[in-house]
Amino acid sequence: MKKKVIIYDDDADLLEVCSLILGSKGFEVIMKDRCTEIIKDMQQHRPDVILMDNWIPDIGGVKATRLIKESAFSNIPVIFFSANNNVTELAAEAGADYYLHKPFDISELEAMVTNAAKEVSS
Amino acid sequence: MMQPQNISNLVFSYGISEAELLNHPVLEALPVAIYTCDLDGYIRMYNRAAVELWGREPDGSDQWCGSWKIFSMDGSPLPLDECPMAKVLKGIPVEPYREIMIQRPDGSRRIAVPHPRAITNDAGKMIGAVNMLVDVTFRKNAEEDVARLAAIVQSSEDAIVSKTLQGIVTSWNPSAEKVFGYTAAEMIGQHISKLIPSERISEEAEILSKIQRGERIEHFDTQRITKSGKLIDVSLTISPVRNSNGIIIGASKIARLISAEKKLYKALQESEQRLNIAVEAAELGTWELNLITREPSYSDRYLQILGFEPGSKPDHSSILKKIHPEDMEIRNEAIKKALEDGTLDFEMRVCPSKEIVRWIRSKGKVFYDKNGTPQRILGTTLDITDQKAAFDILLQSEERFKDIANSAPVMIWMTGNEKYAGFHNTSWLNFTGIKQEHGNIDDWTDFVHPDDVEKYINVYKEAYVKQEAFYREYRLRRYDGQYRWISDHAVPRYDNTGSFIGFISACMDIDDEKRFNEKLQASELLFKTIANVSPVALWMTDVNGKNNFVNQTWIDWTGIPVDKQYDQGWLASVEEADREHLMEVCRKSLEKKEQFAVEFRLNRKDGKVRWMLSEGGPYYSIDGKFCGLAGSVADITERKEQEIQKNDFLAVASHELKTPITSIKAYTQLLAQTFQNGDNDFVKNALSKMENQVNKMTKLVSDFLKLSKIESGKFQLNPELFDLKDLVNEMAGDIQMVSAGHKILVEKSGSLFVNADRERISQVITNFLNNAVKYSPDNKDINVRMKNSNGFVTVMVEDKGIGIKPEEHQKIFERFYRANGNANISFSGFGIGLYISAEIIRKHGGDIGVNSEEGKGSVFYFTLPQAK
Repeated sequence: MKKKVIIYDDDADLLEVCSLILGSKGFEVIMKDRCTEIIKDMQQHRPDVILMDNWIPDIGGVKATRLIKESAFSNIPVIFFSANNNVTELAAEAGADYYLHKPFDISELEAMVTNAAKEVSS
Repeated sequence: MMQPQNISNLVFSYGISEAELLNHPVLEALPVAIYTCDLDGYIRMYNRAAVELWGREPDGSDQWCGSWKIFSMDGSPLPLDECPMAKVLKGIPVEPYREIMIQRPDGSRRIAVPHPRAITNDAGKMIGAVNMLVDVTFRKNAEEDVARLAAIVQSSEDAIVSKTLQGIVTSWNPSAEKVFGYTAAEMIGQHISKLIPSERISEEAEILSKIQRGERIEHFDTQRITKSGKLIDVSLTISPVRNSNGIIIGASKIARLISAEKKLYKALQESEQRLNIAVEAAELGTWELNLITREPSYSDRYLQILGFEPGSKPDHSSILKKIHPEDMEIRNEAIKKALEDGTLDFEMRVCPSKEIVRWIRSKGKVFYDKNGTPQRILGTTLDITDQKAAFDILLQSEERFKDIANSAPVMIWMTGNEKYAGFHNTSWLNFTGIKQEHGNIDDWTDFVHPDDVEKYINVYKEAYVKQEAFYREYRLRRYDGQYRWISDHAVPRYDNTGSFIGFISACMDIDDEKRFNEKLQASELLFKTIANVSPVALWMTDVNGKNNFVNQTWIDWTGIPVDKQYDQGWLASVEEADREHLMEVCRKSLEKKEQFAVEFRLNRKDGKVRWMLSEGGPYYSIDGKFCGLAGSVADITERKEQEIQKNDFLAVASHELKTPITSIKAYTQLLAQTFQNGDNDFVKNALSKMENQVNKMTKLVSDFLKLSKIESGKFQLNPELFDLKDLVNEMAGDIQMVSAGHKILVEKSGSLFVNADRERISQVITNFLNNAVKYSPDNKDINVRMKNSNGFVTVMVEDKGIGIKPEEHQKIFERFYRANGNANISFSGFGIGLYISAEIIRKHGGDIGVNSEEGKGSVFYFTLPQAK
């Protein structure tokens, strides 16, 4: 069964390219351009990995990540990514499990998502 | 026994003739004057006593009475024919026992009581009259004497008491009542011991004993008790009282209060004693000269002073011979003056012996009678030889002092016993331009500025009264007419007996100092005025960094009263989060005495938070002494907000730029992956170049983000302990990987631990290495060295590239500056990498710089504090 990755980013092009990258690696990718119903999304899709952008409407990536981590879906690994230079601080603040600095190498993205999905399995 | 008969019966009863009767020896022997008159009033018969009483013998023509003259007792003449005898013969009633006064031819007077009776025959017809004149003169006189004595006793101010030999009081005059308090009724009949204190009761027996012996006791001082129980001092004079037979029947006592008298006398005695002691102690000789008799008297001491033996009685000429011949005139003039004005006071020399000369001072007073005629002179004389010698020494001493004072550069004045005038030294006289020969100036206020005269005098007066030191400042006119401020420090002077005699003062021209101080005060006032209207807040601290001045602008901003601002009170308005940083900056500036600039937020009194920029630095006194910090605080809120907006914009812009870059990069890499196994080299090459450009763009955008963070103050360090050697090697490896055309060689080094933000330091190292690669396109060797010394770690990156001109060595670390290299070579970049690196290193407390020579390469270095 394919591992499911849900990506939250307001940039449509980035969503598409990430979907292409991860899709080519055998992941099922769900693209979301807003996190308004994030818990509902979790319930609906039951992802294995979450990719969260800092600037996602409407509550922002930090708050959205916190919501997940305080919910029943807290065990789902969250990779926090941002163009901000202080992505590590933001990720820590959000309670994310990983962080990725934009712009990133696609190999970094592939490796990080794969590792995160493996951890869930184990 | 023969019954008494009247005379007529005698004549007619016994057949005795009238003549026989009248010449009867009984009548003649009677001590009482008797005479008869016939009906016509002619004297027929009289006895010897009558002649004695009248002082004359009737010559047969006397009618009514043989007296020369008769008077009533009130002194009015009584005609003879109205005398009682005449009245009887005329049948006029006569008042019995009425006294008359008989004047005798020799002028003496007698008082008699007439007893006229008519002589009648058997038929009752008056045939004549007989008169008996009883001479009561003696009794009358005695009565008068008694009355006079009684009046004297009654009116005496002394208590006069009489008593029996048993001590029973028989008389008590009004003064006795006053003295003892008892009335006559209370004392008469009482024993005299009622007045005697118990301890003196034996006196009475002694007194009575003496009285009984007929002795008089005079001025017996004793004490008696009054009715109120008070003990009084009395002086008693007690005399025996004798009856007519001379037998002592009692005593009369005069008691006089002696209290007031005694005290006065005692006081007088004591006063005299004191005077004698004083005269003796002072070794005063006293003398007196009777100006009428010219008779002198001298005390022993006076005689001694003049060289005579005590007790001797030299005559006046001998006294005069003792006077020094040169001073005789002085003496004579003094005496003459004394007679005119009543007082004598002079000094002269005397020669007690040929070899000895002594100075004396004589003082005296002239006494006059009620007509103003001088009667005598009383005086004292004192040997003042030693005093004079001491005074001469003092004078010499004062002269020596004056010599010293006159050579002093300081102005000195001195007063003696006179209040305002005195000595002024040469410096003083030269200052005022007064010539020495003008002598002492009586009124120095002439030289004092008119506006200062009142205070000048008042301060002196007050100090004179209190005899204490004083200080005053006033303007004194200098020789050139200019008024100069003078400081005047005076202290009291005393003679060798400790008596206050005046002041001595040292004065200085303080005009320059005073005017300077005035200017300084004016300058300070001007400064404060300017400071308080400045739109910028101004502040100052003391040498310890404690605030001691803030201007009105700061007070208005903060709303804190000025007295609460000092020390560290001003900090209360600073945003709490900014206080520590602000204090640290100030502390460093104080310690290193360096300029500083720091931004902080101020909680203004209206509740608004404003951004402030404080700039300051050390300030010094005229003589170069460090005085503290001084600076200004400007409200930069608008500028700050703009900056924040700009930086926020930069951050947003950077982020917005990075987002599409992310997509581009991802697509580029995806495409590269897709075509990597293909044989389309052009596509592969193109995609590789695209990725490089995307990376460059990424870096540029990242640099802008950093720049904005630095400038917005959001640049935070996350220090950690790490080995710098490892980081250098790591970054060198990373750069080497993407810089295949260059050779990066890192010199071996031991561990170099630092406490720093690892990521930021890696950025610096990356920046240095990238620059070295970028700016040495020809020579590919890049050497990296590390060392530690003096507690700092140094990293040096050396290239053999184009080098940098000396004038650009500092500028390249400025924002947006790019070194001007070869005109043919252009180097990409915005020129912010070194600026960011410099900010990172400085924030760590390190140093950054470059050693470079154009065309020969550069050595970029940075230092960091070594971890302890």
